[in-house]
Amino acid sequence: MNQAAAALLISCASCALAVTGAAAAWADDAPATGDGDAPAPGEIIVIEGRAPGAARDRERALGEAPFLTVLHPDEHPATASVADALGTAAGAQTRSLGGLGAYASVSVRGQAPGHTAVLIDGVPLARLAEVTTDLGRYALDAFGEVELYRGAVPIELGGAGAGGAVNLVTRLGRGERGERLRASIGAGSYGARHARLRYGDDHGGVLSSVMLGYQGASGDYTYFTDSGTPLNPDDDDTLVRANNHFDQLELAARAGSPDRARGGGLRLTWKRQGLPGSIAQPAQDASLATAGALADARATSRLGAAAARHQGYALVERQVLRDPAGELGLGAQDRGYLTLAAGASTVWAIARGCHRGTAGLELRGERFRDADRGGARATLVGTRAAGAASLAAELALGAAIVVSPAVRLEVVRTAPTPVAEGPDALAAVPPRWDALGSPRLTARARLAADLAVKGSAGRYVRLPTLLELFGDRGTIHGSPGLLPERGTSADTGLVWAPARARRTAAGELDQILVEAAAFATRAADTIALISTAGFAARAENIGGTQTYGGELVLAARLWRTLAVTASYTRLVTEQRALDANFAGKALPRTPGHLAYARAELARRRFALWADAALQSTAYLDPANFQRVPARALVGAGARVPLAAGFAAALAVSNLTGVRVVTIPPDRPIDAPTPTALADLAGFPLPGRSFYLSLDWTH
Amino acid sequence: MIRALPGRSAPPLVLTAGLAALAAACGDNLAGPDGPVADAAPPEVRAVIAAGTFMQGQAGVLSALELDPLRVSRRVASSGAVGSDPVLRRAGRELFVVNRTENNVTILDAATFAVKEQLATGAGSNPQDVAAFGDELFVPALASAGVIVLTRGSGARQVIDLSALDPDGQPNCVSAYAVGGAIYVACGLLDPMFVPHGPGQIAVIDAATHAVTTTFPLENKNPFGLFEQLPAQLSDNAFGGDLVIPTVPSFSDLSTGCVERVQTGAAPKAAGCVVSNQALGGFAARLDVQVQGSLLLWLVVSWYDAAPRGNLQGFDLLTQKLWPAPVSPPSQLLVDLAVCPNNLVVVADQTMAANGLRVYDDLIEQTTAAMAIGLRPGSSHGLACYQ
Repeated sequence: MNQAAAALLISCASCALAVTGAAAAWADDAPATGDGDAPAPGEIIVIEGRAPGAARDRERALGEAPFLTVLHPDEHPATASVADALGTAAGAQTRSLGGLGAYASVSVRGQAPGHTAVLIDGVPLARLAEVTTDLGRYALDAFGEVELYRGAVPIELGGAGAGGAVNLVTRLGRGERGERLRASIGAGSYGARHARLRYGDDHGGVLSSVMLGYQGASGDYTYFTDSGTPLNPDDDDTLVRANNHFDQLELAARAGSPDRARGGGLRLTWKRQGLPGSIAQPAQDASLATAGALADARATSRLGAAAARHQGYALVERQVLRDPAGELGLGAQDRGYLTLAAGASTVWAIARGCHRGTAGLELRGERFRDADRGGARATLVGTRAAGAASLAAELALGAAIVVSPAVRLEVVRTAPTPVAEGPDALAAVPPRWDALGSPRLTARARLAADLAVKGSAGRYVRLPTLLELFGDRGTIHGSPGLLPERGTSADTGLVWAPARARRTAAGELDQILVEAAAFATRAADTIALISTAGFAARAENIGGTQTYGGELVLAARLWRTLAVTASYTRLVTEQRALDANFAGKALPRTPGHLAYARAELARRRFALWADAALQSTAYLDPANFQRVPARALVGAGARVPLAAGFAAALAVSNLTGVRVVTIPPDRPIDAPTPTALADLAGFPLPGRSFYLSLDWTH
Repeated sequence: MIRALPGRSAPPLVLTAGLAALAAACGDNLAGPDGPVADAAPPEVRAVIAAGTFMQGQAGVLSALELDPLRVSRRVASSGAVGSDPVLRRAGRELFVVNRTENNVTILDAATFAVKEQLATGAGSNPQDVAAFGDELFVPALASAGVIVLTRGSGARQVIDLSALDPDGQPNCVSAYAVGGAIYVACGLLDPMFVPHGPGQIAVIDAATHAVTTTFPLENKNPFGLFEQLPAQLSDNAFGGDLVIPTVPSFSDLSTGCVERVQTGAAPKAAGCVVSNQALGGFAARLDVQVQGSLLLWLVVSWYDAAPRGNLQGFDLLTQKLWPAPVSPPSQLLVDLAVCPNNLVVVADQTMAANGLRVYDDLIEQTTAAMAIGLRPGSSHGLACYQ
């Protein structure tokens, strides 16, 4: 909590409840220590029986306007990626191209992944080249927590999308149990392994964190294949996934003030992975190597009554895609991609009584280069420069209600370099200008100390990528006249999180959190690549989508021992497509019902847990011809303290060993057909897998 | 809008009765002992279209168009029969769906659309076309050493090695057609970046022995599309029975490439161009032959300016003249066609907001709007029309 907010809290007792939330919201990145009450510098807090899931973030759930889920590494297996963890949250669905280390994206409230912004420590990742970010390549344990903003996003986090935002937050200072050092190693099925070392401490008001981690897997699990003939069971087979290995290294160093307003950090990542292709088109030699660096710095200043936060950042990412045999279906590839991005922002806030106004300015530049390393194709280079201004107000209406109107205006210039060869060689390609407005309104009412009602509405925009706009000088033609994808979303709901334990017939129930929300989103001008004659494709605006539904999160602890957390999402989707064949049909790969539940029995530092992730039937394709069967994946694990700070943990994923699911018949002329368990058809997921890890804290 | 077509009268130029039999055979890619069998009461003429989403793993659609009155029945085949990138061939009373992404060939009963068999071509093989001869299917596959031979009723799979045609060992064969006891195979000789590095090659294979009897180059690079056979009655001007296939050396430079002719028979050879891409104003995405009445080669011509384009054009095989103007209006984005035994021309329109099938008759469109088939048409050889 910063000084300005604290002063405000003291001087305006009549709207204390309202401003409690406002102060938390002004902390543009929440303390990585998890609870709203950050430990005093130097203080060691030993948590005995931490709150389950959402209940750990009670204050944030009650006090911040958007519906926020905070994911913690210690509630997931040591090998979990950020994508894996997000898949357990209400409103979110992960789509992975395979097992450990595979490309994965997240869909929030049924929106396309491109509608969810991804940030690391508040720094937006570049989206000039790709619609979204591979969340499978970030190890959850490399962060202190992951924030999932399901609806409206704080103005400080910039231009998020209709699908909210994901902010990966580096932990600062000591660990959750007060430890300075934490080392962890592990190994498991299909060559999974990891080693991670973290040091964090308090140095007289400056918190530090250094983390070095390695993770890898051979990914050689077995999978079911129908050999490409779903109607011919005679050639069904079980094969071993090949070229599915990965190795990744991550080094992150960060220092800053406890409120994270000042400080900076550097995060270096490297990953090398095989690209195994799909079941129908396996690839033995394709690979992708990625190296990235992200640096950022923050500072604060004051000018009279106004307090400001400033942030600057730079991002470099280099990727090399090799497919010497053309196994991925795009011809032989040996390409180097380089993304450079840098930006700065300043956000000023001034308080007047119980109210506060915020103004921000952002500048951002991105450059992307796609070069054929063999020189066989022209290099594609594009740049994007953007400037944005944002204005927001927090208006306290009485003691309990805060209304926050905000608007963000952004001007963006996107430009490719001219083609260097072919009939259009060196012809000038005019830059594209976009002016984008993103108004939003949030409101929250703290009806009681334990009960808050919230709501938000806003409009969001996703700009086309360089590829969508200008093509790749190969198989994708440019569409410089593409409209940005636009979306309007709204949500409302309540949070009830009693601070005190409740006595029930079954026993004492504490750490209770109930969150219920209803949401609706309508997106327009959806961009999709449409194949045309000549095997070429071209991006087009194909219409819109509409989604609505509800989310329910329950968390509680019984007998101070058995913690249960559960989330459920009901999702109704509809395509509002120009193509009459799709209009009115459900969005593909969006199950109507998603649920996740986890129970953890903890006594002292022993813990036993089990979880289950369920999703109902969905459609695989936009025409709703083919169903994706419902599935339930069950996991379990245990953690046992050893001696001298050592502890061992065993996690079992997909406990029932599901590898084959059956596509139900859609019509009388159809037959049930078995298919491999997968998020995306053709990219199988592993069956039962074990992971044993050993960690040491000091 | 859908309306009934007027009763079909005899074509203005009625040829000999023997042409009827030729007409029935036209469009078949079938040879060998099991030729088409005539029914006592000929069934109605119908068109069928296979379409996919081009998204791997997603189901495609097979829909049928009845012509009198015009009516589309959507999804007439089982799920799993048609994949995301299908090619359709008819042979006698059977439909062959080459599922390029799913790597299989699915055989359907042409009357009931029941699945008779589904045969795998092998993971990653990328099959492009099929020619049937007896119990064997000859499947040119882009990512194989040549032609995959499937045996019906078994999972047997063998490869006819044509790797000698291409220094990189993959001749990228794209089409196959059975003429008598020979299988004609067109190969693209693409480099690993899908760029053609030499004129297309034709291999002629003895269907019975699988021996390669001859190979010869086409005049142009990149055979792009599938073989069709010209009617035998054109023999007087040396086109009769020849195969034609589009060649597209460049998608942006239309001064090269044409609809190229391959002479069949005892001395197969490349026989030059029927019509150039320059004259067409694009490349031929689909060819089909009208043998009743006028002898016509119908073409769907594709090109790209600011957006993809496609129109319907006609080429008079007797006069060897391209019609002076396209038949279809610029508002239609045509990608496929099939000529029916009653001379109606069914085309597939890919226009985003109004896609589906349209029917032309004597240069006049009989439909007032595209008739939706369940998916936006996309394949350039997904249509067949037969009786």
